Amino acid sequence: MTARRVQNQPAWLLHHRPFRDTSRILDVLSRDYGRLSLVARGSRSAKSKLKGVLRPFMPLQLSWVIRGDLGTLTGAEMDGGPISLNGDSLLSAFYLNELLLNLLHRHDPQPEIFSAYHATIIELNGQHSVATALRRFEMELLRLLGYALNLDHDTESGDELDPGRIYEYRVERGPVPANNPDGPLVFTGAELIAVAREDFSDASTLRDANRLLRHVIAWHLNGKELKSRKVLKELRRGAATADTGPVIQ
Amino acid sequence: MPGVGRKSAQRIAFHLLERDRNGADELSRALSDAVKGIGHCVHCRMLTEYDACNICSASGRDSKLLCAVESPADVMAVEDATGYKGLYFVLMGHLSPLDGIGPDELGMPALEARLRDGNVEELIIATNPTVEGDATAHYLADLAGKHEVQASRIAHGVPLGGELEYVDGGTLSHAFFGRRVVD
Ligand SMILES: [Zn+2]
Repeated sequence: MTARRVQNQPAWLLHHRPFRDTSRILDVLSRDYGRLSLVARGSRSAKSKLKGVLRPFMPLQLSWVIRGDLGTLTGAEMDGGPISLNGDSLLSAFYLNELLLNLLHRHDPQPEIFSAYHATIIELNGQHSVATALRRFEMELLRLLGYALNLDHDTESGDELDPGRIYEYRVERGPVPANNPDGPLVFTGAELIAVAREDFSDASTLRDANRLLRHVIAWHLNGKELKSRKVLKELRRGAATADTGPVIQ
Repeated sequence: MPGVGRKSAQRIAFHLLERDRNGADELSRALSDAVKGIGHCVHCRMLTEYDACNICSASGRDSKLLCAVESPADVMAVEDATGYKGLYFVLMGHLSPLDGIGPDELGMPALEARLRDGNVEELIIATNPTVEGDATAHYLADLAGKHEVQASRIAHGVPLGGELEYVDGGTLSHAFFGRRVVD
């Protein structure tokens, strides 16, 4: 197998773990080569210049050589201004990364997902609502993975959703008319239509989107519980700041 | 083992086995004693062979100051390099949501209990300047605020004697965000 050399590729660091004495293994999301793992040799040593650069949530340009599945990092630079996430934004950004690590296949280029992620990190860095940014990203991610939510028609009859009716959302199919108004995935037509419009300035629409997306994403994760979700729950339990809404439940 | 490559490990093993069997015996006893006898300080989670570590049980330390660090090695570094006379809390790690390491794994409930009991006036946050260290610092600052304890974070950035153009971008931006008023 011949080695492929990639230069100055826009990328984000999703996760990293120590490897041997002074190195790390990086899980990165690159624009044109998708998700991949790279060894960053010497990046934990005291003298490494890479340490300050190789940070999650920082736009990067990475260079590497790869032969087979695991590549070797040959260069890293910051790509544009630094981003300094904090508080809820920072903690939620970890959740985004775990979502991508679990839902993206390796070596499958997804430039649109790369852009959506970039836009979401920028949004988290601004003064926007964290929960809104997360829900929009989740919806966009599902759409780009080919699992778009169906929020406009009844999948049994094919009719447009009736705002006054009650539907049960079936993850694999979409809304079907329901008689029982209780259940984790029961919504009114009006609620589903509101979620489709992504106008999350209405707190109840945001809650509906959260409930729907949590179930749909759990289904795509095959029941695997996200570690960041567990940690965020613990953090929110102890945090002093008022609960600003269902960021992650 | 960190800091010891395969070659060095082999040299050490051959030396002990061929030339210094007594030394090898002593070393193995010391290691086995350490494994059996060393646990975590009940107050600060520092490694110690007693219930409370040397620092927590020393007289003359200022219990109004509490410094949170990630590891026992960080305690030694601060002890050696500064004249700090307060107490410590060793998290034994940092928040790492993707690895499932949250507040419980870091002993935060015990730390919170100390902030709650009203004796601590300042929490000095000395976590590393990594994204995970930042996340940990934010959370600690939050906890301190909740219990009306003043929180501060140690400064990070350009090394003394360093020149800006040779400092990597990440470090420089961290230093920039952490700038302070010159008085
Ligand atoms: Zn102690």
